[in-house]
Amino acid sequence: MSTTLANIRSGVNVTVTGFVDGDEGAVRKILALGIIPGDVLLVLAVWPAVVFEVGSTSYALDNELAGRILVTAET
Amino acid sequence: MLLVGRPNVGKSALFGALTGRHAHVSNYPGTTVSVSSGRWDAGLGEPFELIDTPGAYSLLPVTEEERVARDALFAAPAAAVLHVVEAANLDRTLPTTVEMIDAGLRVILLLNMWDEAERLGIQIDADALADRLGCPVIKTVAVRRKGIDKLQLALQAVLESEPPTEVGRLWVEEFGPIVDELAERVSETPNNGARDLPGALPRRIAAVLALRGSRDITERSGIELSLVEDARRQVAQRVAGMPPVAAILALRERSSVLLDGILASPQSPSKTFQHRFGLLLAHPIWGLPFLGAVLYFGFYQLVGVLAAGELVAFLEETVFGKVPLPGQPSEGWIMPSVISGVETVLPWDWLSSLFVGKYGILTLGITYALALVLPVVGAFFIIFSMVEDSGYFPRLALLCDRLFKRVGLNGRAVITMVLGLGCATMATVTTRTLESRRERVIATLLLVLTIPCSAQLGLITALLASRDDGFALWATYVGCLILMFAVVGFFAAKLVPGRNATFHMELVPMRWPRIRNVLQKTWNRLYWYFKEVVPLFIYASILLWLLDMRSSTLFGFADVEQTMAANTLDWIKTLIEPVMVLLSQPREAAESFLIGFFRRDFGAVGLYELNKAGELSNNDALKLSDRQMLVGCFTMTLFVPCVASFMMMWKERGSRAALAIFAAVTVLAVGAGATLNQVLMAMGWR
Repeated sequence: MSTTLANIRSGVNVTVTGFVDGDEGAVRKILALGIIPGDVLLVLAVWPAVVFEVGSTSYALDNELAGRILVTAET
Repeated sequence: MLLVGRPNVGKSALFGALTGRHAHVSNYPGTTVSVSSGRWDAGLGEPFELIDTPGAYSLLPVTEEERVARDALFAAPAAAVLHVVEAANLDRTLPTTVEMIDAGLRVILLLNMWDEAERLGIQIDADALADRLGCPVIKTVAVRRKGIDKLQLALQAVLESEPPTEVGRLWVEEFGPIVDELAERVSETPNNGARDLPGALPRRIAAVLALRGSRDITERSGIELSLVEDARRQVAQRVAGMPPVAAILALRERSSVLLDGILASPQSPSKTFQHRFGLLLAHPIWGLPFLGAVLYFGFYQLVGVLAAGELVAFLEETVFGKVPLPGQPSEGWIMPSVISGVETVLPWDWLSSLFVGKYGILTLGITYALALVLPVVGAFFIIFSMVEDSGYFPRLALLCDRLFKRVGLNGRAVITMVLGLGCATMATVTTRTLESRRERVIATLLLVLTIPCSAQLGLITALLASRDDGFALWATYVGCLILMFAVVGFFAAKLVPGRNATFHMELVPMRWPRIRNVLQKTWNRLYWYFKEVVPLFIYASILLWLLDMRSSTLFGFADVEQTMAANTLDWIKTLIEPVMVLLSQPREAAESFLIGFFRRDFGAVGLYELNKAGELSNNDALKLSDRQMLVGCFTMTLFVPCVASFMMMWKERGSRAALAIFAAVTVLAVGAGATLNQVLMAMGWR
């Protein structure tokens, strides 16, 4: 099931499937961090911002940016 | 020769190891905001000019500092580009290496922090990777100078190699012939009116960056916007998606082919203790006690009570000593002999007072700088550097993000604000790391208005802490500042046009602060600070000495005294007396506020002395009440930034914004100070 990273609970592994169309500037910012479709992210916290781990690096994104990332949750 | 790479991978440490110069090394992304250069003698004849660039994630910049890095990369043909990557993160950074090699740069890939990658069990066959990439790949540990010798050999090989033949081939393969059609539109000659692209940026690469959505390259390339939009639509059709996404996917695809069979990393990502602890610190509830502890022990106890209180008292009274009142014996170790020495060499009172008088360069300027300001600023920078090196700041940024959005900023501005507690001038420079002009203006306003600098805060802390109920007074003072920050920020967010920038931040791993780094950073900051400050202290002394000179001496005729005040200083004091009355300050405090123009901390020193004079005196009228003290400290904090920070504001924000901020700050400071005074009086404070 596809949703955005902003809707994921902490402790869940997700795979990035794409980006929400519209704000290309926001997408470029996410890409600049090196997050692209196919990446597997582990969500570590959701408040005050979404924190996740990808590879050996952790990032924090606010809800607006996290809401631009389409993901599917792994079961 | 250039050093490039993501933020926080050790570029600055490598820069230091190669050139012997000290670039700023920290555990916080974005500490290099401008390009710095040094000379590196690689043992190949003439030393190279080595340029350290701000951290950048990609050639498509998001922030101003990333744009600076990208422009530096293509400013002139570089002998070699040292791409520094975190070895443990190679799979995520190799796409940028691929991109730079394709752009015709002669890259040397440095797998830095190799020791940490080994600890994580990551294996990389560097030689095989070098063969596939066609560029040298070297394992380094910059902070321990490991791998530097191999770098010298590799450099020699790169310099002897042929320059790359075809630039941007990758993009023609991915995006198609449209790349070259657009490249032909990029103006041929630099600076012919339309084009002001970096000199060594190939036209094909400029076209690709425009296709990938770089607005600044599009504007600077001289291509019509509609043409670029058309071309972008064509690319979007060809790649079936957004061009920037397709571009990164293509780069990632190629680098994963390159890494196939070369990189082996253990399966599960590490969920270490440090990691969990780091998250706890960013927790909206569990993070607060830690923040409180850092503020209380680090800043209140160490900087305020110990450094600004005990240490300053010892240095000022015992080591330096004061100018003795007539008829009293001299005290202290240094000043008495300095004073008698100067008076022997310069037997004229009016001249010797320039050096050792009430406002003497030595007795006021130098003494204040060394005895009062140095211990406080030094202590602050030690604490700040420790916190910075531990990796706590990104967590603090995360913790504060939502609050900062209310004042038109985001969590990224937290570090600028905390650095402002050290020195507003320094912090104004780092507002460059903020994304939009809106954020930079708001951050600058809040910095100069509500953030006290360390020397000022330290002295005020010592001042308030020395009274009964000191901590409560201090907490009230801090509370008032926070309130001011919130209120002014809230309205600034409404008034300054634009919308909030989104928040994104890499959470670097937490670690124990390294003593070497902490000392190095403290030293760098102190050095910068004193280069800026000491001259201003001396100028301020000279000006005060001039103002204090009796009019008769100044103008050479005695009858002036009958028509004018005794001296210019008195005259100015009379002029701003109404403001002092509004704030319930004694007439003498005007002097402190006046001095505050030169350095905020200098003004605080004035209040400090005033309070001490009152306490020593038998006249109750000279003793300052808690209310006077609090209002004085509060207004002084809000009051105009020092000359240095005003000049920096002018340089960074432009004259209009600087003057507007200056005017706003003056009005707000007096207004808020008077309001606080009224409120406290209404509450029955004496």
